[in-house]
Order: sequence, then C-alpha cells, then structure tokens
Amino acid sequence: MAELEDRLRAALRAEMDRARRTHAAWRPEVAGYLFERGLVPAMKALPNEGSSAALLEQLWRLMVATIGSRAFGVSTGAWRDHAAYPDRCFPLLWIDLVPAVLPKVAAPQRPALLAELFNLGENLASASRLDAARVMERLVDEVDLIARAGLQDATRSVLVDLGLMPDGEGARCAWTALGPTRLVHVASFDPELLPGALRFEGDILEVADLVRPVALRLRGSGEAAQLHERRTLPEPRTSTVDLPVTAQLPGGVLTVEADGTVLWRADGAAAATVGVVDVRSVASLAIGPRGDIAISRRFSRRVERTGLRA
Amino acid sequence: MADDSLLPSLFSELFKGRAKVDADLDLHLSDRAGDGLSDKLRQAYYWIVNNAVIAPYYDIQYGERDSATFRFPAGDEVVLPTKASYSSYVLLPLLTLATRRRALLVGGPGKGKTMTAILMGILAGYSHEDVRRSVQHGHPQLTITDLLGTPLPSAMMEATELEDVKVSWRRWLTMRVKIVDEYNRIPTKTQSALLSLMAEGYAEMFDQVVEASKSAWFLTANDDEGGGTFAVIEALKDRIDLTIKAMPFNSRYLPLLLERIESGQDPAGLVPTEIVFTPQELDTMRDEIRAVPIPAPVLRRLEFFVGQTEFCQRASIRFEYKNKDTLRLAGTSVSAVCNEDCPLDKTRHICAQSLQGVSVRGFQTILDIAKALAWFRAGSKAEVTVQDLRQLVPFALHEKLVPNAAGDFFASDANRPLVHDKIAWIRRMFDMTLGTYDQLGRDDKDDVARLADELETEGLEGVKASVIDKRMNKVAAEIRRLVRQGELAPYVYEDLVRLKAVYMRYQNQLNWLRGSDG
Repeated sequence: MAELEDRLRAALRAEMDRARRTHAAWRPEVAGYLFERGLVPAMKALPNEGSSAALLEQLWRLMVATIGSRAFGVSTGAWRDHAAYPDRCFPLLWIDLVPAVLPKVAAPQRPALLAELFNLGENLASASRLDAARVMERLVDEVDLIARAGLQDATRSVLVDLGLMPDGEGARCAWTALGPTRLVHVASFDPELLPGALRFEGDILEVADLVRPVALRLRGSGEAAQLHERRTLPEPRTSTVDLPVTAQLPGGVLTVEADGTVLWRADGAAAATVGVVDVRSVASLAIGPRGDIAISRRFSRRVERTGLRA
Repeated sequence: MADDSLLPSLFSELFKGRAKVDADLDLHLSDRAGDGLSDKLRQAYYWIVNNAVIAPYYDIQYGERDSATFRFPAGDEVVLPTKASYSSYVLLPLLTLATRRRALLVGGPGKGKTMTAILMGILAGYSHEDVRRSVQHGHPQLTITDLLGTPLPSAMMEATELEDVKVSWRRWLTMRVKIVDEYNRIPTKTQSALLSLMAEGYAEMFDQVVEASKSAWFLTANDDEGGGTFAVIEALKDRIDLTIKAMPFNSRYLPLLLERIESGQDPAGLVPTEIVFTPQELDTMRDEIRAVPIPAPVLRRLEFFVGQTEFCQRASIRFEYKNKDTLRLAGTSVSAVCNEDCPLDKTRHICAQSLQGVSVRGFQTILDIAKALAWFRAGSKAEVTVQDLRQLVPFALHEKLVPNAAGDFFASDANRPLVHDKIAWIRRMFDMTLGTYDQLGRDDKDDVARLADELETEGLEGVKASVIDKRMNKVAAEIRRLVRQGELAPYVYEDLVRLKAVYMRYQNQLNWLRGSDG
C-alpha cells in the first residue's frame, strides 16, 4: 500500500507541472486537496491489488480534467459544504461519492462506473450547476442503491425525487386560467435536439439546443407546429432564466413571477392574476408578442406553450 | 410520458460523454469541446490577472447602479459594483489583440508595460523567446534600417537598378503582434517610417515593399505628455486606438511578489497552451467580433456624444464651419474663443470642454472595441450596451481629446482635478451627454432621425415631385422649430446639419425632376 501511495504521489507531482502548462484554470492547492481527500481515501478503501492501482491512476486523470476545466469551478473544501455554492458537483463526486461507492461494486465494473459518474457530472453541470450539485449530494446517500441497482436507476430515482425529471401523472403541468397547453415535440424536427434557450421573434419561436450550436425556428404550436428554419449558432445558447420574466404586449404588461403566477397589468390598471404555470425545473421561459408563454424544461424533449389566447 | 419528457434514450445520454471504457477496461478521456473563443479570451484574462500581472484595479465596472458606495467626508468614494468588473490594464490589451488594433501602454518605468505586451505576443502563438527578440526598443539612434531591415551588401554591390537591391526585412514586420518599446524615444524621421507601417500596413525601401501582416500593435511610453526624447508626431498619435494606463503596484501584494522572486519563474514562460490562440482562431475571433450588433438606441447615444465634441459656436460666422477644425486650421485655440461672447452655458455643453473633436478614425475605434468588449463579456449572445460604451470611450479618446483647461467647466473645485485625469474627465462628459439625451427624451421622440430615416429607407426612386415637396416642408418645419428654441446647442447643430443634408438631397432631386438641375 505504501508503495502504491508513493507511486501516486509521484504521478501527482508529474501531473502538477504538466497541468500548469496546459490549463489556464489550474490551481495546485485544489489538486493537492482532491488528492489527499479523494484519491488517497479511495486508495485506502480499495483492495491492494494491481487492478486498483490502474483504476486509481484513471481516477486521478479524471480529477485533473475537472480541475483544469474552469467550467466546473472545482474548489477546495471551503465551499463543499455550502449548499448555495453552485460548483459542488465534482468535489462531492470525488471526495464523498467515489471513495464510498467504488469498493461496493465488483472490480470489472469500476472503470465503467467511474466513466459514467464523470460523464454524468459534466452533463448535469453543463445544464445547471446548482441542480448538478443537488443530484450529486443525493447520490452520495444512495451509494447502496447504486451498488445494487446500478447508477442509472439510482440517478433516475434522484432526478424524479428532486423534481428535475417528470414521473407519470405527477409531471403534468399546472397551467390554469390560461389558454390550453400545447406541446411542441421538437424530436419530430430534430431527434437530437434537447431544448434549451427559447425566444420569440414575432410568431416564430426559436428553440436553441442545450448542448449543440443549433436552433430550430418553429411556426405554430402543438400538432400544427411547423419547422420554419434550422439555424447554426456560433456556440450553444445558454439556457438560464431569471424569473420573473416580463413582456410589454399590446394593451399591457404580462409577467410570469418566480412562483409561476402569471400577472396581467392592462395599461393604467392594477395587476391581475390571470393564471399559473408550473415553473419547476424550467430551463428557459419566453413570452411572445401576443401573450404566448413558452417553457423548456431540463432533460425534456418538448416545449410547452400556453398563453392569454384560448 | 415516453416521448414528451425525458426519453429513456435521452436519459441514458446523461451517462455518455468524453470518458469511455474499452474492452480491456482502460478508461479514455477525450478533450472537452471548446466553449468558444470568447470563453478562451476570458480564460486568458483570468489567467493573466491571477498569475502574471498584479492588477487589483477594477476600473472597468459593471453593475454600478446597484453598487454599494462608501464616501469619505472630503468626497472621495469607493464603489463596489455588483457585476463582473475588469482591470483595464489587462482587458484592453486583450481586446487590442482580438481586434488587431493599436494600443499605447503608458506609465512609469517598471510597471510591466513591456511584459503585458510580450504576454499578448505569446497568446498569439509565438514563443517567449521569439516575442522578446521581436520587441523594437526605441532609442535616439534608432534608424529606419534598424527598424525595417537592411539591403544585402552583396546585392547592393551587384545591383544596376534599384529594384535589384535585395532587402533583408526584419522578421517582426510580419508578426501578428508588433511591440515597439518606448516609442517616444524614436527619432522623428524613424517615427515617420513607423507611421507608414502602422497606417498603410507596408514598408518600403529601395523600391522593395514588405506587407505587414494583420497585426495588433503595442507601443509603450514612460510618459505620454512629451517627456520622451522626441516629440511624437501628431499623425502617429492619431493612429493609436487605445491608451492604456499602467497602474501602480499595490503594496499589499508584496508577499506575492516575494513568492515570485523566490520561485525564480517568469510568468511569461508559464502561459498555458490552453489559452494560446492559433492564427485561424485569431481570424475567427475577429469575424465574430465584427458580427456583434449595436442596437439603434445605443448607437444614437454614441452619436449624441461624439457629435458634440467637434462643435464650436464661435469658430465661424458661417453655419457649416462652426467646428474646431476651423480654429485649428487658423492656428487658433478653442480657449481663445470660448469666452463670454459665446452665449452657451460652458458648464452644461461639452463643446467647451475639449480643444478638438473626434475624428472618423476615433468613431471607428469606439465602435470596434465596444463590440469586442461586449463579445468578451457575452460571447455569441453579445450586443453592445451603453455601459460598454461608457467604459470604453475614455480609453479610445484619451489621445484624441485635450481638455480646454482654461474653460469655465474646469474652473470649479469639483472639476479641476479632471484636467489631469483624462479617463475620469471623458467618462464624466459621456455621462453629462447621456443625461441631456434622456432629458430630451430622444429615445421616444427623435423627429430628426424620423425625417432622415424617411429619406434613407424610402429613397428617392420614383418619388413624385409633390411628395418631395411635402417632405421638404416637413424638414423645413423641423428646422424652424429647432431655430425657434433659441439656442444653437452642439446637439442642435448636429441635427441641423443632418436636416439640411436631407433637405438638399430632396432639393437636388426636385431640380432634376423639374429639369432645372444646376
């Protein structure tokens, strides 16, 4: 075991120098922190055998990759316990989850599990850093479920539990007092598209992909939705939304509040509640020039539309 | 729920990515797809401020409206903005690199001006050694051949025609980043050669021409106000797009400096490969910046500001020549005529504050760098905001505007310090004009723009004489309304020039239609 630890420490030193010359966001203190708090505990938890050494070297490479990527803001433990800090996903993964879960799965399954966990972290954090941290925090509590049922089932359970993934009837949207809900199935226009940022341009709704630099421009909604144009963007359009969202429309102002309440303030009149929309796990929300409200949700293939018109 | 929510296939995508395991259980990690060039430039900014240039001065501020402000009894204040803010000393050189413009880094010796310029060269893909060797050091004996190159002696001996003389051009001329250290120590004649290179993009010697590649220029000077060995020729100064002030060292960072000395490492030798731009990336970055939109209301505010700097009511009795260039050509200064004979309030109108106006080149620089600043902050979602202009304009006009120190505006205790702080002065001028713009409600009511748009968008093709007549009457009515207001303020002058131009286009067309052209 001491020999393995020495070998890992030598790898750490070599990596430190290489990574500093490669990554702009490289921070040696974070590397040291992840090494001591993540890699060494994982080493101690795994049986002392050849396959463990190889696995730990692979784990270290993944750790280095997350430090080098400024996108995920991996930090030292100073932030790991702060629920509001958005970039906790990978510290939770490397320090809390990996050393606990690796020993519980069979040796041949460990590399695949590591790869899936790493990919899950990157994919979730690309969509929402806070949600990624929430998911990872919950997965730490589900170590036994991961070992028993697999990472995918455990993750599905956590996503549904956190309201990030619809589950049967419970996922129906609560649109009240507005026009009917119409679903735009973007998969029929682009099977790869994962809806992210939305915006209206007149009657056309532009739906940008969450990951790829493409956007679909759609005319109409529901069954009648038609593809008007497919655009290539210079880079993926970020889908973040700060509620409330307000739009100046002919005759007044329409606002979707943070809790989903839809307010209509006719010119010169007091605000009146005209409906409620379900804003759980919203990726993007846009209001069109005629009072149409469109919502895309994280990890959903559809865009929901409702509005002031019947 | 199968196809209208998280599809099983989509859900499983969550576990796929750049980490993959092969049949031998070896884990492979591919490179992360790029986040775009603007993100790369932001990474470069943060790497420099964290590792290379100690720049704790966040003078390009966003989110000032909601900021916390702390005031001393004597009026000094500390502002804590609420949005990401930047140090001009690092950000502006990066924007110069991205837009391939020309920046002057000024400040006392030892403030890291050359070091900052060298870092830009490394970011453009050159080795530390190459950039260091390419730096042109200004000194009183610097000749044109030192700067540009030398005719090969063997070729000179054998040449019978001038074009037979082969010139060995200096390598720096074709580099993407050009650095001229202490340019104000270069003799005047050599400055002229430098001017040709900067202005025209090529150098000429013995009938041989070398094209300077598309490049960003970084000039340094210890003193911008004539303290160099030679006075800098005006035309050369005018070619400088941005003036960037080196900031003093903050003594609280002494331990960091000590750490660097003890480690013996030069940050320029540690630039991570991740933030080095390829020539193609530099080209793409330039194109992306050019594509950043400037919304009409933002452009109008800029028009409103720069248009007023050139006006001088007392420069001429003739309407068209009421500008500072008239005075300049006559060898007179604004300070000689900007007195009680001018009916305008000198503390309210910015025409009284500067000795000259903004050139077309100045306009272009502002527009281009404002796009770069917006792009740096927001990437493909960028569009230029008023705040971008407000932050940038002082650096772009630093070399272009000289304060009318004898004017009434600078007479008050509150404004006197602005004479020697051009950045604060120009920003104050910009703020003053924005205040006037809002007061006049220009966003909601701009009849001059409306009348001009009518001509520009509808054109004159096929327009009947009777319609032109009506339009001319509308223009004349607007001119009458402006004149009746009684004060020929700088912005009124700009409007009148525009309206007269519109009127004359109609008049010429009318003459042509009626067969009385000329």
